[in-house]
Amino acid sequence: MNFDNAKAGQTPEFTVVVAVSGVQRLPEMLQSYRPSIEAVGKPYEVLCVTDGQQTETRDELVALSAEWPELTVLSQRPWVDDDAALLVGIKRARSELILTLPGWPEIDSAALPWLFDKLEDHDLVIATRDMEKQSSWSGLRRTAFNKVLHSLFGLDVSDPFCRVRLGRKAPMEDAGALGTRQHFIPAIMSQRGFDVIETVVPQAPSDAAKHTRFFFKPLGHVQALLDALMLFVVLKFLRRPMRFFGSVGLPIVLIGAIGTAFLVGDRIFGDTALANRPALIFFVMMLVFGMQVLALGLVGEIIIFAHSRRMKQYSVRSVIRHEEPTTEKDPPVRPRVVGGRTAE
Amino acid sequence: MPAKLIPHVTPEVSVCIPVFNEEENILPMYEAVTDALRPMNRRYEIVFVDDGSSDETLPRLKALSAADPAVVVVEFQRNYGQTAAMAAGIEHARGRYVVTMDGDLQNDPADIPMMLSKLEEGYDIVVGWRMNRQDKLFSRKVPSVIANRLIGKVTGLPIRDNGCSLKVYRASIIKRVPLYSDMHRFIPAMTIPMGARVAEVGVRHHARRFGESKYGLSRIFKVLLDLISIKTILIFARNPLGSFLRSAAAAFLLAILVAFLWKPGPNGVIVVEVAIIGLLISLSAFLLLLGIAVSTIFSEATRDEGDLASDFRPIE
Repeated sequence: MNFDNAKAGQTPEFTVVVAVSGVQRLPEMLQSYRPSIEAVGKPYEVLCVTDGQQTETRDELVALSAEWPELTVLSQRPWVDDDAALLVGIKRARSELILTLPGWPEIDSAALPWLFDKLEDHDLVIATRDMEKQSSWSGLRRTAFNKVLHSLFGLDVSDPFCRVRLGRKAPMEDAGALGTRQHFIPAIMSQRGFDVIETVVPQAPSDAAKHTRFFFKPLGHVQALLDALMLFVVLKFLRRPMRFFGSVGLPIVLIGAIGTAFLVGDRIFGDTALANRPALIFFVMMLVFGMQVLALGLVGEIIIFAHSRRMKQYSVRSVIRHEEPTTEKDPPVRPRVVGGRTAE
Repeated sequence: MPAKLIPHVTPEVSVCIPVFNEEENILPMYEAVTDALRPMNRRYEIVFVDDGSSDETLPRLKALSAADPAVVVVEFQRNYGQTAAMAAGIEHARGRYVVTMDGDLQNDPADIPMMLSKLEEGYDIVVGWRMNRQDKLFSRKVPSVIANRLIGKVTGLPIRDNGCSLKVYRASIIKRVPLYSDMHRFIPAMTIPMGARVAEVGVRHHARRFGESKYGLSRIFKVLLDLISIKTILIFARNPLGSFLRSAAAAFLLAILVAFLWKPGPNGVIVVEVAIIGLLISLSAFLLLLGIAVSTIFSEATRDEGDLASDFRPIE
């Protein structure tokens, strides 16, 4: 069965991407979004990326797409996770604007058109739920994640867990390509100089009820923290690996080298036997480990050097070049510019 | 007879100037560059790269560009640093010769014609050397002298002033130099694998008139780490597998030496000896495998990029 019902003839102005697996009543959820999506008043497409394992849901989605021509259902195999599926949806989008929505109610869908009003010249708008009711643990979790994002990436967002975002395709795809959690997409875009803002929207009533309880998932929180740290290292040192590996490996090599030299010197000049000194193993091990870390950094540098022509380390907002026909005789006329204004 | 119209005339000289919060320097810089280039009767363009300025730099550049088609403005999304700005300027430059300089008016554009003449003597790069440097002695000049000597020793290209941004390049050379991280200081060294010919000339240097310096002493540690990387890259570019093979062979030989020269401890204890030999052999194997893997990647990535000796043409 072909799930890809892309309507090649239409050119949508925005694409709604819903990437989710194992969610009950997904077709009803999509239907509930429909009036608000159509209220935006622009041609659109909806890409729903699912794992296609739940036969009943899949059949319902296919039936829904038959009567909702803008809806395309994509079945991703093998299913990795929601974040990878979201990237698939963003890549498949035919428009330059992407609206990401979760497979469950997070915000009052009537607020979706507000995001379009807010976007203007910005690159990403994040929906922030006006959480009037939430458990203190939920609030603590949100605050802790805010602090992590602020200290590592300099990004201040009030609701980093909300998956409702409207942004431009290219930077979102670029940010998603790092393969990290979708919660970090705003942080990556912000780090790369794109304009990220947030706007407060009403929370969905069922979502509010969910946040009055808190489920402590220690492993999940640790994983999220590790992901944040990994992303920080990647963003900071991706194009300068030696700065990271060098600052770790060089001190280890130095300690190992000094310790080994001391013990060997003691053997030569002090006549102390080395064979029964476990400290020698420790220092040689440090030396070897430090050299391995340094070698990895150098390998990283070599790979970056070899691929540097294909890896842009900057993003250009605009290039202003006035291509005026000129004559062979006349060089460009020199203007007088005063205080940013041009005068003849 | 009216002069012939040539749409989109390609300039001969491109001057690339990265700027960051230099609103007061923009107009004097533009005038100084124009005054230097106009008498040469060569087509030129001035590529200003705005590195995410937060002051009036960008509006002033836009006004200049609207008034003078020779002015090209590249606007960054945010501040990416001088190397990225220089790389963007070079990428957008269309001239046969590319001039790079700082946007703080410390370099004197009046030196550009002299440097271009030097380039046309048959060099690929002409590097400026600030003769009467107008900077603080201990925070700028002394670290610079030490860094330049070190860079010269390590790279084998003894340039007196790597930090001087006023440089003139053949576009065919500079567009092939990979610029990333903070590598703009090492551009001449990065051209060594290509076999480029480098000349150094004395240039004027002025004290900063407006704004503040964007550099501090913290860059010294970064320069040192970059230097290690550059040295490796220079060695690696000449002999991709050799450098790793030599290191692996050295570790293996050391393991053999330990095995032969080590005397067992009391009661024939050889635990320490075996452990050290094992560590050295593991290091040797690690370096060997790494070398093979990386040289494959390196040769795949640089397959189409020969050195200058293979495609060098007579000087234009």
